[in-house]
Amino acid sequence: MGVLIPAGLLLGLAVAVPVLLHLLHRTERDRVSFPALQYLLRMERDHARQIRMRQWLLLALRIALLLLLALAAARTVLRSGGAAHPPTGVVMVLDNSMSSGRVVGTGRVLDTLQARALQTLDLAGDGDRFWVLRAGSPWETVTPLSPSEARVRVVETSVVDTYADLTEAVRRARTIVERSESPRGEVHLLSDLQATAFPVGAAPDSSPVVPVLAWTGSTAEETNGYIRSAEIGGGLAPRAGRRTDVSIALGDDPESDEGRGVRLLVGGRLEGAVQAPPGGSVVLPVGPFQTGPLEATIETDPDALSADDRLFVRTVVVPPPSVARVGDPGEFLLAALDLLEEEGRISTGAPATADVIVASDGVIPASIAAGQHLVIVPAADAARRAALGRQLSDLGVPLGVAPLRPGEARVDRDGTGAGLEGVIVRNSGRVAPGPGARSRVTLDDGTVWAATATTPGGGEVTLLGSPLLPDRTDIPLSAGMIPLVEWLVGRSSGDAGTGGLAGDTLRVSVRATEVESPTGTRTAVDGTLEFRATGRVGIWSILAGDTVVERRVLNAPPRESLLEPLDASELADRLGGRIETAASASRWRSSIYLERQGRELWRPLLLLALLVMVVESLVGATGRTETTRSSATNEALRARNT
Amino acid sequence: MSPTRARRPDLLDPPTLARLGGLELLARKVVEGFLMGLHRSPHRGFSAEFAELRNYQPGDDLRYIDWRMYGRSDRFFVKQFEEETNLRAHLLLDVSASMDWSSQPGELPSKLWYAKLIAAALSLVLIRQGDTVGLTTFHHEIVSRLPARGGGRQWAEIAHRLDEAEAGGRTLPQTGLRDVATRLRRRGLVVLISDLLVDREETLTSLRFLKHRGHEVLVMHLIDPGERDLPPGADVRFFDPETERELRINAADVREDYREAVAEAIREWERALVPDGIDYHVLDTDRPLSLALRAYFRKRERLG
Repeated sequence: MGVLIPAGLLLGLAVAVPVLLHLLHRTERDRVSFPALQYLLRMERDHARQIRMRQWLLLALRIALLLLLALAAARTVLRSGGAAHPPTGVVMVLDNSMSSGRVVGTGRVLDTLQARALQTLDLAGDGDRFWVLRAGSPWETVTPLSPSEARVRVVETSVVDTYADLTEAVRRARTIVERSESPRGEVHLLSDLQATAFPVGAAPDSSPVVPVLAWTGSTAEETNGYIRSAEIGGGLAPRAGRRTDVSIALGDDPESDEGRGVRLLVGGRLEGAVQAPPGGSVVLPVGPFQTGPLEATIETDPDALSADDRLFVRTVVVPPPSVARVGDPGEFLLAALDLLEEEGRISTGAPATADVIVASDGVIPASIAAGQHLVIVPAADAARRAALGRQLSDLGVPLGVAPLRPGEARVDRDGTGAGLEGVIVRNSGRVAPGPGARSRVTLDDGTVWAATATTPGGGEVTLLGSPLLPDRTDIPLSAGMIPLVEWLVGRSSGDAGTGGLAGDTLRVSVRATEVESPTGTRTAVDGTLEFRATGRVGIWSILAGDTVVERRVLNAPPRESLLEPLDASELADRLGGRIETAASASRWRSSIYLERQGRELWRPLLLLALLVMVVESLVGATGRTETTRSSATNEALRARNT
Repeated sequence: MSPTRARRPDLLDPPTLARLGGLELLARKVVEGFLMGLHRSPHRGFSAEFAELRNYQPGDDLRYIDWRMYGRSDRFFVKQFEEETNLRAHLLLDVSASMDWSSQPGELPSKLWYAKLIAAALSLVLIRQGDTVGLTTFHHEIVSRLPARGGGRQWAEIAHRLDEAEAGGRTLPQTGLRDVATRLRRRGLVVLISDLLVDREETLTSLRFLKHRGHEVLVMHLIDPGERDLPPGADVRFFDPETERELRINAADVREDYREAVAEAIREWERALVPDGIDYHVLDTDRPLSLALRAYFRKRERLG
């Protein structure tokens, strides 16, 4: 005998109500004038024992009724003895995602999850079939296993640095059970039940029939510190020979008083360190570095979950871009370019060879070489704007020049990182991005002020909506002017940043033969041009023979760092269907193999409750109505008396 | 019910009857209706010793109509004989607080109202038959005493006393019964009209004492239908309006036992009274008064 919803037994507390009523015999009653009180006294004298007996019987029946209802509400089951159960197909969703590497006591969460899985296998019968679905490794194929084979797979499961979508994993597990030949099946969800692993809005199956038994004994109770993000040089590639700033954001608990040490290492050598406030951001100046790839590791003090206490970054240190100026840029843009040159951020070059060409006043070069970046600052008068539009069209650039608009508009979205939001643009033209073009700055009237597109020859063009002059926009007078210009002339120097996330699919070129993990393990790539088994954080290499074709950075998924568990009561909403939970090893042992638990007793219990209700009514009625008999008695007495 | 029956006041249910008029008028109507329904005179014991003539009443035996007087006056007269005036009746009316109770106030008259109407109707019948009637009202003590006499004035006095009678005090029937027993020198008929919510043994002793003194005794036990059954509701605190004694009980749980207790109490009264030659009638206050009158006439028949 056991119960599936122990909370239902709380209903049994309701037995206190009739008991209290019986004992207290209610203090508040109606007071009724009744001259025939002596008949009542006589009745009480004659039937006191009988009345008491009936009242006790009624009390017992009412208590029994409530207890039966409580047992029914708790979904009482009558278990057959031992571990015997009919052949069952069990899909064990084993959460080996990054968060399962959290250390609890002397072991990891995964160790506990594995112990529960082995507990399941200990009670397995010969007819049972198992699938071990590693939620953190969704790229793996899952095959039916015997108990012994499943045991090996469970033991061999290791923590990966990926995110696990448990809603999807359970859906997949249910599908496996439904498609299997096992007449009975169940899904065991072995996880730390991170709330982020159950995406909001992921609708559960309409009516999944396969029950899920979820382990709820490994939920996290502490907060987790981690490195949320890092950015080198504000998104720009570091310049050779110059120091660059690395912005690092921590995902600590802001309530915590303890700061955390943050360090940046390049090739194992410490390049910089800083003490960061909890939940805050710090800027770490590092460098200078020489031209070439720069691979660094940012780390913080490790805690119970250490996988997210490191962040890998990879960028390319480039020399300052050479910038050629064509046309009159106006005094503000000119001053900005001079400043950047004085700071060594850019150098001056000829239009034919420069990395970046800043074309102003409607004058643009006739052609753009591959890899060159053309920044166009249009003229203010309509005639030259119209001519510019025709030139762009001749170059095959999908960017149009829209007419000037009177009035003011404010920057709504700024994709340059210069912080232009809210800055006013007035009497300005607009950019009409064509197919393939990317909007960079958007105004609050929905129009585009800056956009970028590529040329057929492999070059890149960024077109602004108006000159950078105070009568057209407040940008020259704002703090965002220099960052905007640096972004305009510097962005062609190459992307820099933290790359993708562990678990992302790596797209590889046709030349690629192998992919090398951060730990040095090489895996041959197949003909799909995709590599999915990216379970480790770090820098991955895509190889063609022994030649490194590409290096990719994969970091820990931030969602895995958020350990707040999902409330067990919400599991049914997220997963749908029948969900059972177990929070202790003994409870797990008694809950697995649901069929073993035998028939649920709520139907017979309700029938029994109904029967008790009827008996209660009959017993109560002997003292209450018996209308027919009593009326007949009275009528007989009356007739005789007349 | 035929139209004739429907018009007879003695067959009307008490709530309807109560709306027809005052006690005196009602008593007259009830008696006339009742006598009309008998189709024969209730008179017995007509002797050869003629005493007087009186007006014919519906129900009088046609044999005793004085046809000679009819020929002279075109009115029916009945010959009255000496024996008819021999019966001395005394009505004992319980006016204790418990009598002033109705289970449906405003709908159903109280036991006291019903008792007064019975007393008035019986008095009228008796007086019309040439008997003498006395009236004593009592609770724990004698409230009013009217010696037995005959004639129209006596009935008017009885009706007046009944009108004035108000409920109060506790019920001690032996007070009235013993008072009557000591005062009635000639043997006669004693009618006790009460709800009998009394000390049973004391009351029985007094009634037997009356019987022992040679009186014929008729007990009319009034019961409100609300006393046969407990009122609706579960947990109720009952109190006796006479004694203020309270009893807390779950009415829903003991309803049937209570009914049985009432029935058993009635049976006990019957078992205790009838073997001693005391007539006992239970009258429900929601039933027509003809039942009460019929009880009297049965008794009168036996008295001869």
